[in-house]
Amino acid sequence: MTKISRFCLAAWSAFKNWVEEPIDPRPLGLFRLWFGLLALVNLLLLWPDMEMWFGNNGVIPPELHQQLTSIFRVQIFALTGYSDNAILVMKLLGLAGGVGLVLGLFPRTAAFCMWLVASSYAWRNSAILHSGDSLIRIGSFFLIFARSDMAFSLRSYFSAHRQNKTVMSRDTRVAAWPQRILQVQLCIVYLAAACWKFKGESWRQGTAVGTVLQLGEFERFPIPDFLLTATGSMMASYFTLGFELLFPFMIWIPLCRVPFLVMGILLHAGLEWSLNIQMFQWVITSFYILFIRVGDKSIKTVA
Amino acid sequence: MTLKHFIKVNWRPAVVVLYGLSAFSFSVPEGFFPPKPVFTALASRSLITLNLWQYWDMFAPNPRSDDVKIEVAYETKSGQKTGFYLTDMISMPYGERWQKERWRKYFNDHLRVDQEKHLWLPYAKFASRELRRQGIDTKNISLVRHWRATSYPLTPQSRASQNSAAWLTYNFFDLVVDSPPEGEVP
Repeated sequence: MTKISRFCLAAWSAFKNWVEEPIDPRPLGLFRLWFGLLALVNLLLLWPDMEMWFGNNGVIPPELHQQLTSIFRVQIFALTGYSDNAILVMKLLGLAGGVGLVLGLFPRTAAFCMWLVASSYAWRNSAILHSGDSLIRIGSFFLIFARSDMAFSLRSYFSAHRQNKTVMSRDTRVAAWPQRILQVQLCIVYLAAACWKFKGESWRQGTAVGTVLQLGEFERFPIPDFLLTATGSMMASYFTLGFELLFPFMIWIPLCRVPFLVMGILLHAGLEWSLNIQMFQWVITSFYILFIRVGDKSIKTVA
Repeated sequence: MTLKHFIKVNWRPAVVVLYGLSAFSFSVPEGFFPPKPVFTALASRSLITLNLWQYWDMFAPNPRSDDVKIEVAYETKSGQKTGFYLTDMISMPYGERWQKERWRKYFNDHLRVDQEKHLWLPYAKFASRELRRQGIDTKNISLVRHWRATSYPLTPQSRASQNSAAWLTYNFFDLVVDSPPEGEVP
C-alpha cells in the first residue's frame, strides 16, 4: 500500500468517526427549539399575505404558474392541485410543525411538516423567498433524520421527571450525521456567498456596503456616520467578504471557533440593526448553536 | 469486503460528502468549482425534487445601484386619479416594514423588471380586484416605477431617508379595466 493510499484511508477513517461517533444531544436539542421558534415566526409574518402570494386569485394565477414550473417537487400542491385549500393546509401544518419543533413533540414529524410547508410556498411563489426561507427548508429537512428530542424537549423533561433526575446522564448520546450535515450546510452558505461576492466589482472595490446602505427599501435603524464614508464602506465590505471566506475553514479549528462565532454574531447583529431584511440573520445564527461544544460535565436538564 | 458491506458501513459519511459537494456545486457561481458541471448534471434534479436547492447570492455579484419604489396609479370610474405605493418602505413604521419585506422582494426585484413582464397583467388584475373589494371601481390601472441612483462619495446624508435627490418615474404597464376582472362577478 502506498503512502498516499494509506493517508487517504486514514483521512476517510477520521472523517467517518467525525460523522458517526455519537454526540451530546444538547446542541441539537437547543437548535431544534430555537430554529422551530424562528420558523414559526417566519410563518406568522407570511400569514396575512398568503392568499395574495399563493392563492388562485393572487398575484400568480395557476395558468401563469404552470408555465413557470417544470421539474416536479415534493410539496402540498402536488396533492391538492391549485386550490386555496392548500393555503389552509400550509397554515395548519406550519403551526403544528413549528409548535412541535419548539416543544420537541414528535420532532421528526414536526420537521417534516415544516419542510413540506416551506417547500410548498417556495414552489408556489419563488419570487417572494428570502434566504432565511431556504435555510428553514433545508434545516427542517435534515431535522427529519435527527434525534433532536433528547434535550430541551417535553420528552426529556418528562423522562427526567419520571426518573426523578435533574441531571442528564453523561452517557446520553445521539447520532451525529444530521448535525454534521447542518454544520456543513452553514459552511456552504458562507463559502458560496463569498464566491458570488468575489464576482462583483463593487465588493472587490469595497463600495458594496455603501451602496446597500443608500437603498431606502433596506433602511432600518440609524447607523454611525462613519459607515457612510468611503473608508467605512470599504472596511465593512472587506470584513464581510473576509468573514464569509474564512468562516467555513476556521470554524473547524478549536482555537478559532469561538472568535469566529462571536464575529459572526456581531456581523449579523449589525446587519439586523442596519438593514430591513426579514429573519435571515436570526435563522443563520441559529445554526451557530450546532457548533457549541459543551464541556464533559453533566449539566442540569430542563427538569 | 463486498460492495454491499462497504455501502452499509460507509453510507453516513458518504451522504455527508455527496450532499456537501452537490449543494456547494449547485449554489456556487460558474468558474469557482471545476466539477460543477458534473455534479449539476448528477444531483441538481434530486436537490430540486427534494427542495434542497439553494442560492446564496445575497447582494451579489453587485447590489442594485438604484433605489426603487413601485406605485399603483389608478383612475376611478368617476374620473378621480390617485394611487398608492407598494414598496415605499421608509414611509412605513418599522413593524410594517419588516412584515412587508417580501413585498419589496416581489415588487422591486421581480415585478419591476422587464424580464418578468409576464407578472404585470396578473398583478394589475389583482390590484383591480382588491380595489373593487374595497368598493373602488377603477377605469384604468398603471404600474409605475420610481427610481434614483445611489451616489458617491458617501456622506451621512446618503441614506434614503436623508436623501433629497429627485426620483425618476416611468409608467411601465397600463390596464384598461373595461369589464370586471376575470373570475369576478360584476
